[in-house]
Amino acid sequence: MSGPQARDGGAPRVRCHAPVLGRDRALESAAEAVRAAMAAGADEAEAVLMTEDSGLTRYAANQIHQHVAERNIEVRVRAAVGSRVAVAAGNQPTPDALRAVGERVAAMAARSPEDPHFFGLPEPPSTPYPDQTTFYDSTAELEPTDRAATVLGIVELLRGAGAQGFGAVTSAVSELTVVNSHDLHAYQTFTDAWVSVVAQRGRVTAGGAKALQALTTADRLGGAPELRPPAMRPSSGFATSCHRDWSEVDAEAATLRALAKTSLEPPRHVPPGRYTVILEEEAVAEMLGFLAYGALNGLEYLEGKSPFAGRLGERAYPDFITLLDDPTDARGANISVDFEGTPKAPLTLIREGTLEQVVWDGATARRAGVTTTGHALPAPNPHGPMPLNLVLLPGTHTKSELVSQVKRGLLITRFHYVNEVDPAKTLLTGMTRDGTFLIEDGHIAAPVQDLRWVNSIEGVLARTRAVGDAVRLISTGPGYDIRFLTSSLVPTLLVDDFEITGSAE
Amino acid sequence: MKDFALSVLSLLDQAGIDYADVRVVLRRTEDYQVKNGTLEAWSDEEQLGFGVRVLVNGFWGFAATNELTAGQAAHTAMRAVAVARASAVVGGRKVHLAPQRASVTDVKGPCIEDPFSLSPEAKIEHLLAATKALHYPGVSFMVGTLGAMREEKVFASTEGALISQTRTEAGGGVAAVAVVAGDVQTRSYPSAGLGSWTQGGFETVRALDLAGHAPRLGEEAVALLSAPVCPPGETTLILDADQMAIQVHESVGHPTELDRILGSEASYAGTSFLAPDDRDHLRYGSDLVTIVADATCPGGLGTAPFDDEGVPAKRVQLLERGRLTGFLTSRETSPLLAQESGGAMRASGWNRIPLIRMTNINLEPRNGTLADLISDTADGILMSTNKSWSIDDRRLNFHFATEIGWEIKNGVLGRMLRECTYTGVTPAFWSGCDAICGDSEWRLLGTTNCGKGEPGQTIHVSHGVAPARFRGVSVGQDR
Repeated sequence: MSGPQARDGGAPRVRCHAPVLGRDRALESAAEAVRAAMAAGADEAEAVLMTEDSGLTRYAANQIHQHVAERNIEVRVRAAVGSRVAVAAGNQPTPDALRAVGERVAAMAARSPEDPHFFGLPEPPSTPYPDQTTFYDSTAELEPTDRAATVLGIVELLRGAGAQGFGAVTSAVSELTVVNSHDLHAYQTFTDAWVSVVAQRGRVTAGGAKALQALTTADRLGGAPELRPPAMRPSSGFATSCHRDWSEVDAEAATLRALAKTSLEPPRHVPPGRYTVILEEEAVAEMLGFLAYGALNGLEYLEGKSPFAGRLGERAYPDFITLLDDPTDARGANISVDFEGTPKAPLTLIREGTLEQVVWDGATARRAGVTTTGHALPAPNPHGPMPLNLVLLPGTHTKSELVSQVKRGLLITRFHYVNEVDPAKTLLTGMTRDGTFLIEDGHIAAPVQDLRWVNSIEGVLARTRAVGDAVRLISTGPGYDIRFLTSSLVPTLLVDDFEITGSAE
Repeated sequence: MKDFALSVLSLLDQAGIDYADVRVVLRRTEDYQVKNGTLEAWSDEEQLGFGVRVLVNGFWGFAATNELTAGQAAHTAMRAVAVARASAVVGGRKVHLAPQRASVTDVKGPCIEDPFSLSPEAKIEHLLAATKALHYPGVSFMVGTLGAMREEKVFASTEGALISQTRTEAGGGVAAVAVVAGDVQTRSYPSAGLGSWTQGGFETVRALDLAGHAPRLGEEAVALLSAPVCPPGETTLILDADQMAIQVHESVGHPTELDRILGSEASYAGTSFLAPDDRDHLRYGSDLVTIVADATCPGGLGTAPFDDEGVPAKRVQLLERGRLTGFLTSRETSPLLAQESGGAMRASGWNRIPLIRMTNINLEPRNGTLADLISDTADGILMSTNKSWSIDDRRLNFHFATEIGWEIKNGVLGRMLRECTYTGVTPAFWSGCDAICGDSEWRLLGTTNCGKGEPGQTIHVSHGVAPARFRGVSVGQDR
């Protein structure tokens, strides 16, 4: 880990995002809450303490329109009296407040009914936590002006191409601390940075040119055609760049990728039907995220709701499909500990097309008679464990080679609003967005309108004909709750018989 | 909290700002979940913090922290100013806020039976009793949720506003889940997921009568395992109130958010097929369709005396007899329409900026009962209880699935249907609406998981809806 960097030979830069508590205070704060719970009558107690110091610079129509900074903590204490369990949480860092959370949860646990599925909190692990670099000064030092300058660079590139930009630049320092009454102690600090770019070009922006003309001086669009859908739909492209290390985030490359997806050519109409498709990384990651949420979840498996229930060992997909959960891959959002203090380790979920493993936390593993795989989420978690670091192994084909294999089909950049239609069958629906193209005779032929699709993940994997030779880190970005980055490392897929059911036009 | 908010504002006196507001929020939430007679989850959480929003030379900055100390007050206020100054680096249009009279008041929402004073044992027993009533041979899981939230919020601005608001929400739901190899069927009440929430105390949970509605759910979940699949085709579709709520939410609520229309959400939640000058002439639906954004609606999760810019609650007509008549707006966007703010700026907590959000988006009732509507339908399908939802980023092409459906033949409900889905395009779908039930069927349903923004914000909204009928709808096409 490098120290503070000098800029232009001047004074060392001061970290804009510092860990909110730091190792010693974080561990002591979590221990304070645990001690309080034990003193108040708990037989066992665990504190999961997360902190965040973050900033997010959001831009639309080539200007910054939302710009925020946040500092917060969350201490989540699970206490047990026998097998009676409860969880209390707070966000105040003072010793009094931490003790109050511990005392409150102990009192709650004493009044809780017995939980037959609680088998005690984990003992300290027998194996060490993976030694990983998850904190980078390059990210911690980012200031609001740095993020704004990054936006300016994006906007200038897009302006030069007659396009408008929409997206966000965000950076954060976060901490995860796990302490329990069995003398388990874990602490890790992280940085993460993420840039997203939607480039819009041609025709008229979705909100209507008249509105933007009224609001925008520097970026005024020409003309004000009759505002009626679908004619006002602009051409748009999307790309992101994400890493724990800001120096690995390439905003310019993301901007150029997004821009390359735009086209002034009118989109062609594509009728419903089954198409051979190139699913780019954002689309692949979103589909696999649903697999992680349901099919690969140990509790869903135990309850027979996972489509993989009773099928482990079955050859379900082509032999070039291998899916891991690898929290130690430094190309992704690597992490060394789960939310109950179990060391993280790589785990093969699908090996050469064969269903091999689902993921477990302490409680579900005990019920299944296996060992936890280190996939606990923050308590209480009635949904069950899930993998947070999926890696789909790459194949041997470049993206252009994949496109060249398609006689007539589609290239899909990204999905929008995907949801489960039938989780038991991994059946999903969603729309395409920000870059959908017709492929004819092995070449990108024309943009097409956004399309609705309905497909099962299992079907997509089973009908995958080839896998791209490079993986890209895909993250869902800053999320809704306290900052905790998750990611996927995935390649592009060539998939046959992808079901398109309609369009927005 | 008021003194603290004012102290933060005072720190900005010499900071050269155009405008600032401070929100201090204390929120407590409590959640229970039971499954098959076991309490699976019980959590009690408290979050306290404040956020400072400043406008400097026409550009926004915001900073928030969980620590209400003098040191953090100064640091956070100056951080917000630094963030705003950085925003100017890129340039562009400067923000001008619509005028707003500053209010000074304390207000408290309804709560008859304080859910936080009721013993945990009583709440757990309430839920266990309700889920026990789900029992039916073949039911694999009997699940129930129950929760409550109380929020105390102070809003203060450099324009002189000082508003204290306290609100309580409560809600819950139950579901029966039947599982066989490769198939999972669920029946929920009053809505899927976390059920339905209302602004008020535990009396609102009792009013749901979870135990009373539970017995039919178990039987239906098991029956669905062997029910025929919804046949594909174009048909007449009746949607129950629960499905109407999400239909209104996705295809009317979100598209009428003016920030989406202007592109603020283009990189994440999406835009809209609407344009500002569509107002007053775009045909959105049939003459029967009148929809309002009503922040005054009793019990609504979107009901508040003031929004998070200090704008008093309003009732804004979005659609009147099928025509687009208004948008959800803020102080920043309403000048575009030469209007005052519609009072739709809401933040999910102290650590987020307010965004244009739905308040309560309510479909005006018409006439008759659901039974009348069914008996008036020669051939069609009744779909009930949302299971899946998806719509494109301009809010045109939607796809919904429901937990259950029934054929309608010659005015009579026929066989039960599973795997019910329908799809459509927003204006065409609403133009096919030829009947909406009346007051007796109108229900206010509240959801706590409406997402938007970066960083993400989950807001609580309600929808007042009645069952309605739509002609020429494509159903079951993806099977």
